[in-house]
Amino acid sequence: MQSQEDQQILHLILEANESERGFQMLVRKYKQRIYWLVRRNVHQHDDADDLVQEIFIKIYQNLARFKQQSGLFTWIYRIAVNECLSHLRKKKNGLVWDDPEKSASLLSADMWFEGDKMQAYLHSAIQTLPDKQKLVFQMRYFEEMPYQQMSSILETSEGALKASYHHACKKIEEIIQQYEG
Amino acid sequence: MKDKENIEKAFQDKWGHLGKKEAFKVPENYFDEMETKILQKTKSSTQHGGAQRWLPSLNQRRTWLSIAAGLAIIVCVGVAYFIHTQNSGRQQDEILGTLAYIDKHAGEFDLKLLSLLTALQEDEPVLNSSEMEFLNEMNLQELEEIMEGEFEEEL
Repeated sequence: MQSQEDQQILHLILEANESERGFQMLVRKYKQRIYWLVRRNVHQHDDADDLVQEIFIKIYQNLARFKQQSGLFTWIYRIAVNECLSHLRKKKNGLVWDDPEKSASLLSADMWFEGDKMQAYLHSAIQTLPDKQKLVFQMRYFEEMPYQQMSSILETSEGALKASYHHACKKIEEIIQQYEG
Repeated sequence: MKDKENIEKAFQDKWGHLGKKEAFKVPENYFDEMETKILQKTKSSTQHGGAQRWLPSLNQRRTWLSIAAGLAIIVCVGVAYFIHTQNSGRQQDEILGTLAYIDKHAGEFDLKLLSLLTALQEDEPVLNSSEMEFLNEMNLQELEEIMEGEFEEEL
């Protein structure tokens, strides 16, 4: 179930003298993947930075409870997804994403956004989706994650995930087609 | 099902290119610094007692907790058994003492008075006229005086 590298990380973490090195390897391996998952959801770099640190601290604090019933990546990613969802719920009142045109122009003006106009519309359209559907879409579209893996991370059936992704595709296509050309 | 797969493929064909290139950027050396920041934060959270220790120490703690719980149960059972045996021993001594007293002084009891007192205590309406006469002649104070007198003599 674990990749060879994950097995080595877990082995080091269990060794009293090597646990810090094991955790360092874990951070090094997963930091970028977790960061981009978070960044695509919260958009702002500073928010993403804070949230990623919180996620890794949570992983560190809960490593003792990891029973290895799932892969290390699945477990880490599940923590990250849950933290993202909880962050989005808290932030909901602060930002309005109902107007993709307005949010796309805000995004284009952000110094940490370097995409073109259509990419800005795509990311703004994604923000109009319900939180869980947003995560499903991002995992499939950007990371090309297999449904089986998504199912174990989100603890949802593959059928439901496929349906959710197709709904998301339709909604996003409707939005970005308006601004095409 | 086929329809859904077609939707996914059509979407990917038409809009897949938008996701191929990362639209967001990060400050220079961000990921190297991020690693250092995270490791510092986890260290400080351990120093402040916020983080849990790793699996071996947790397992050790579990073992010690199991031993402590086992010892606590043994001590509780021991104390309960000691208290129980002490109490039953004391009760046995009291019963044996009473029986020895009765055995020693059996001939000295006023059997008539005892049977009357027993009948009165049990609310038995079995008094005949002579017994009623006997009781009428005595009042409660006299009875108590008689019994106290006998008791003091014994002491």
